Amino acid sequence: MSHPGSVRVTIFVDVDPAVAFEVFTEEMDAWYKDTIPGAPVRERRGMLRFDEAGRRVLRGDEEIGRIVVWQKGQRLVFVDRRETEVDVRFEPEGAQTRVTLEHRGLERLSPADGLSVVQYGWRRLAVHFEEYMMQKEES
Amino acid sequence: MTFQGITPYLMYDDAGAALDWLSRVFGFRERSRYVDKDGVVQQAEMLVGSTELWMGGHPGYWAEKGRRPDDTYIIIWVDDVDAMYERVQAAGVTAEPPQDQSYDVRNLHVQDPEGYNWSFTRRLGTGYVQTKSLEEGGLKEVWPS
Repeated sequence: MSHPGSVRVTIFVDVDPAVAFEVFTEEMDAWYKDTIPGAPVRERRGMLRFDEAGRRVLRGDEEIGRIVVWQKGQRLVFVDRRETEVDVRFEPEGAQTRVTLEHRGLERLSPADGLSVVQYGWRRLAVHFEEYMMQKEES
Repeated sequence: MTFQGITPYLMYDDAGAALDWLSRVFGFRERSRYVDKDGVVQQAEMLVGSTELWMGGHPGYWAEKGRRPDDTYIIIWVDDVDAMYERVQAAGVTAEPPQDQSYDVRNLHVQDPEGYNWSFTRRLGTGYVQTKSLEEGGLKEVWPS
């Protein structure tokens, strides 16, 4: 891929949209794994969480993004420090919820950084969220 | 070592349109799409049951190759070929009705807009049925020694 613009990932989870949204936003620190295969494991610099009231995404006390859309049970959009945008939609499909994560604005990054996001970003994180949901269902 | 599955990687002039078409007409589930800065889908992944389908390409891909997708058939095992036929028809896509074949399957052939042939197939359990004599081109059954 020459210069990425966006990446969109779709997963399905066996709970309703309200629960999927709740787990995604309230248990982010548990499902979010920022390790890259083969790379040294980085030490967490603080708990990851969404601060709905303050419209912020936080790692510890540090603001790493700002929330621009918060529609409980339906949609969440936040912008990171590089001004790229993550749009997460929760839609019912039968007994499942379709979770669509789209990371846009990658054209604002260098081609190499954009490619890194494509390879190691939400495509992988979405799978971590999916696995986390499956583990919750089993336990 | 064990084989764990097979994934076709299909090239399209317009992978984004193919992704939408395969999702709408067949009901394959989109897994991911990678879009370049000009809005062109360059890579994509779909889920077909428990298996994956990958696709890529760019505008003019087949013109550069000087050909179209060849006569390869992609066979998808399903439990109800006729239900698939109804789905395809409801999506406004023309296809011949499913047929029982002499080689122990019932199948439905559908060609996608860029020319790939998809065969939705179910085993009949009849075994091979000889419909022609050997002189007429029928097949002689040969067992491994």
